[in-house]
Amino acid sequence: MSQATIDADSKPDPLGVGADHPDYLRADSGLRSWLLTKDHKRIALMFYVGVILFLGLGGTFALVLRTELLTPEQTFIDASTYNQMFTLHGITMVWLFMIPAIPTVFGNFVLPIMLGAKDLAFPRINLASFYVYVLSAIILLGAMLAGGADTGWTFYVPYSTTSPTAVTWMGIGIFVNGISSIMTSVNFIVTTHTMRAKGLSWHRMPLFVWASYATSIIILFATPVLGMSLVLLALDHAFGLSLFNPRYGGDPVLFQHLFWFYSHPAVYIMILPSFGVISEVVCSFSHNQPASYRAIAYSSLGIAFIGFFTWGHHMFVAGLSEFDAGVFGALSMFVAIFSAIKVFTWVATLRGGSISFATPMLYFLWFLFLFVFGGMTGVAVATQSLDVHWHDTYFVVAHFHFIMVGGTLTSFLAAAHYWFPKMFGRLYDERVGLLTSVAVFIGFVFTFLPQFLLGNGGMPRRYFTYPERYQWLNVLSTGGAWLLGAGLLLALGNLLIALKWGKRAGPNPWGSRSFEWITASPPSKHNFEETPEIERSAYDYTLSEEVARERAKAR
Amino acid sequence: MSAQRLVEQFESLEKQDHAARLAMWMFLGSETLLFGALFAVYAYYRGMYPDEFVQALHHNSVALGTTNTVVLITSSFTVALGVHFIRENKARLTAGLFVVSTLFGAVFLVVKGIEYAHHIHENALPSGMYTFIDKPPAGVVLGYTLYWFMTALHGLHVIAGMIMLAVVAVLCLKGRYGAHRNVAVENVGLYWHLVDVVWIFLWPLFYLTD
Amino acid sequence: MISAHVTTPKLVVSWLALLVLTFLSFGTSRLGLGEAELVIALAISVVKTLVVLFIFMHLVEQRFANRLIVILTFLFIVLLVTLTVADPLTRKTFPPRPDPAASPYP
Repeated sequence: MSQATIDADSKPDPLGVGADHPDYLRADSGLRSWLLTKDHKRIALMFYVGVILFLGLGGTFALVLRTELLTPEQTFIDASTYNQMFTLHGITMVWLFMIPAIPTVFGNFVLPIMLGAKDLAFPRINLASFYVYVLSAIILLGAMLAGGADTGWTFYVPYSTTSPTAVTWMGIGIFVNGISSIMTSVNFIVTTHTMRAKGLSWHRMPLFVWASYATSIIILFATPVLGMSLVLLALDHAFGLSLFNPRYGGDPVLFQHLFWFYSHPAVYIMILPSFGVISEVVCSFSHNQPASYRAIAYSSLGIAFIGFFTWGHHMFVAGLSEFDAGVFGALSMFVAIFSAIKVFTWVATLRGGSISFATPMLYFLWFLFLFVFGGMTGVAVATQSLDVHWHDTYFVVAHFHFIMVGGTLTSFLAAAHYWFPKMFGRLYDERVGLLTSVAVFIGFVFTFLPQFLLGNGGMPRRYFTYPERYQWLNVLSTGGAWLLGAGLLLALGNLLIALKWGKRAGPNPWGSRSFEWITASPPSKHNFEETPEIERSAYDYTLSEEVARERAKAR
Repeated sequence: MSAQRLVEQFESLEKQDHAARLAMWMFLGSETLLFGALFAVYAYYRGMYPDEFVQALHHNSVALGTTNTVVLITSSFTVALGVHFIRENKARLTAGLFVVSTLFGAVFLVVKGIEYAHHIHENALPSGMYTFIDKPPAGVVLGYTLYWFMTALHGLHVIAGMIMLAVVAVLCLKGRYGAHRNVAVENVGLYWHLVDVVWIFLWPLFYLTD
Repeated sequence: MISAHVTTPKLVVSWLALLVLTFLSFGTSRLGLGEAELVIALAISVVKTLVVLFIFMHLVEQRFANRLIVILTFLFIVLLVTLTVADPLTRKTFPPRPDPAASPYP
């Protein structure tokens, strides 16, 4: 295959670039070729397996929680197990699923291809990142077996320093996990700076790259602060370092400052890659260029930046000063402006496009609903006077699940379906895909919408028992959770079946113009044998009518 | 020689070197935020207990602290010279300068060790072990715990930097680096300068409290 | 790419400048200026850091991307410290200092 030129007019290669080379799945064989691979696509698949396992584990914890809350009194686990369950659910979902999910799986897989590169800048660091992730998972699982944790995922002092559970090892595990994220993010930023193909200027890059870039900046600068606060906590728990101990004049509120300096931007670490996925999906399936490329690209950077200075809204009732609370409340609302810019741009992108309703597009609609709903309640919670009423109730639980699960999980699923043909060269069953997507959405809404009502009605979070008048809402929520779990399992089953029996996908089944679709499906080991020359943007749908007509014939 | 070290995913050596350098700067930025969290803790408690905090730190020896500052700045200078000379292909000179810098690092650690020994002797220890003053007022212990933690963490970075400097010095003698291959030398130099920069801030915060 | 070269004389001058600044910092700390002392000392430290960054670490001759990382690092540390410290210094309703009796430790 000679050097490929990607411009506006050329007919795409019918088999995709690199189709005359063995694809990355078959290029080498044997366990060793997987475990010691430096190929970003194989590393992405190994992350995929890990991330899905932990989604399953975290989901199981969640189902145990919800089932326990079916009845007002004890249902089937005791109170201290319940405390363990919600803590482990949080830790597993946040650090082992949501933070690594989209960057390490889909970012790793498509980011170099989108840039026309053969691999990430540092393949060895990429592999090391995977093993550091595995190490952190082993430490965390070990800590779960050796006593677990009952502090909630936020590890607030002073309780966490005296808790009899394995808090020290949880802290160490999360610290190690942070090293893995930092490695991946350094790799992404350096790759974006140095490895763009000839002709691929910053404003021609796919929007997913911008989102990954913004995410990586947050990871790079916020993770060390969390690492340090957890080291201080672990040393306190193990040796009594006592930096936050009131006995010596220490202030427990300071721990919250340090914790949320990371953990609030962590929300954007989870949601920004989702924005990237959604931008790709909405353009590919409406066969239209984004209504404003720059609005989406720059608002990612804006969120990454402003997101750093909103952490105080978690601490309105913790003893934060009035001045700080005011500053943080106002800054928090700024984030809504950038998010709204994105939402409006996505919706405007649909206008005039030729829309096809495949599963990823349906997930985009669910995302839009859940994200807007969750985001608007976020603005409400950022208002101090309202937050005093809602703080530590189920309202907050529902709010952040709408954003984090509604945002991250739906876009994770959108990405899983959207890039499935590229990753494995097969098509999944579209009808089953659409059905599972509906099940996930209905399950989700039934799980978390009642929780807004519960919280507003005054039910505190993290409580083991509750008054009987809350029961009907809790039953609805538990039923929804089971449906959500079933929907996820069915979606997974659909993709697993397609892995073996799916129809062969061409290089570009969706008619997308983004660069990863130029390669063969699945791509060859080096993606492009020669670095391609790129002469158009990733959203050049000037031929949209023809493409649409061709697609109509193919389907 | 230079064609061999171009790995397949890069187009040119210049880009490959730029990538390595950029990655190092990012790693240093991340490291700085690690200390940044501790600087925030310091500022928070110093703002909360202006007098007690300073009172606790006043105990530190300004003479030893200042000696260490001069030692580290000079070691940073020799490292910078070493990086300068490797670009002119004087690998042996670079190796010599890096060895000198490593020795300066050792001097720094010895001086710090003398200080620590002194503190241990006086029971000026972190958290619950602090009995230098009987019934210390709130804030005193925090100041001393932070002093120990931040200087010890910095000390660990000094040790890591010394190991890297020594390894690069040996590799320079073996002829691994030259005018066209020196990013690793440069990056190790950058790390050592970061260690210096952190100390430039630790010194006024923990020693110049009059 | 390389717009300014770091030369040996420049390195020597920077080293001497750093030593002078160190003694300047030491000298002002002996004057007994109270609160202003900390500000002056930190300002001198920032100047020293800039010398190390631009000359010793060759930032003058590097690409913008590397400078951007430095700018962001500095910015994030300043904002982390300022917004955190602003909290205890501006508390009115809540107690500005924790109560030692609230210690959970035996």
